[in-house]
Amino acid sequence: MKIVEVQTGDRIPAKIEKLIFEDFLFIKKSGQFEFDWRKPDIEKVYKLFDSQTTDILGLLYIEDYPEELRLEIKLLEVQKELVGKNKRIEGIAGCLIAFACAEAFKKGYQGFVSLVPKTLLINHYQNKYGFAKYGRQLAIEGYQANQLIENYLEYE
Amino acid sequence: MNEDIYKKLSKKYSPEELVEGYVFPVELSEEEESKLREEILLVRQEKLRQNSDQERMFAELVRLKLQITDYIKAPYFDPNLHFGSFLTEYLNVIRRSQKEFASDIAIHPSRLNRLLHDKEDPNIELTYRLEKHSGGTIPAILWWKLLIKKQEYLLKIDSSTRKKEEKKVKNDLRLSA
Repeated sequence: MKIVEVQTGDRIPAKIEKLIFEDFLFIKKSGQFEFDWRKPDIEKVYKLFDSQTTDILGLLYIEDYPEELRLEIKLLEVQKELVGKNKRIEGIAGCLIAFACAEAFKKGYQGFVSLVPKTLLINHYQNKYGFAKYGRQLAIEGYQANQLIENYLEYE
Repeated sequence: MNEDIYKKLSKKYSPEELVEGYVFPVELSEEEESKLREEILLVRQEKLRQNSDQERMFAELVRLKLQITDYIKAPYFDPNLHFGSFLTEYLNVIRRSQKEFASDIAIHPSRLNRLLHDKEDPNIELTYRLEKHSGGTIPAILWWKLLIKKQEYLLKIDSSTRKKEEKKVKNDLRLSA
């Protein structure tokens, strides 16, 4: 996984797993997350964590729409300290979006993942991750989705 | 509430920084939500109609790659999942007969048959050919790791070979207390 310490370029060993109830304690205690992560169904929430310290670095809430053959990212949040120009670690959001693409391939959705963007951020999701416009939503699929998986999840 | 958080964060960070940290929740009325879903469904259906066989095959190959990756990482060994069973799935995805595929990768059809039924293990050369055949979608290393996973399992459970081979060792180091 491409989770890298900005200053040294060293890789941080990380994993993505489903959130469990005990994690809410860390989320609250750390004060690192702004959104209320108790709201979504816990079964639909994933955490990206440092495998050595077990600290949660980022969270992802995805909704499955089987009749539309797509997953939708409803919410994604990276630890407060790891956002912005002084961040210590990078790649967390990319890995979480790539993870959603991998899940969408496994479900037979051809890697199709969508999100409803804030207008101001549309171009930036397109440039950073390769999303394309699908009506008012943004989505990624097929070759671009696999590219994201290769860049972030299969990065060696 | 969520909108307030967005406003606060958008004052603090540039758009480039925001997309590296967030996908923001959007609060929609039921009507708005249903309109958006209808809209994307229509676009999606149209796109699926336009998708070429090649695009569909590519998506199935990526799915197979991810299945192999997950199995390699899994902490268990399943005797029904092996190099040959995943290669059989590969043949299903690419819709080629065994004869055609054996010719594609320059091996004898009977060898392919043995590989598919786990009666023979692949060598490194074959994994390179498979990587090339899949257009690089399924790397050689994944096929190779399937073999390693099987060998690790066999190494752990094969007590008869272990005992037989141990008898051939002389002057072994007795380091335990």
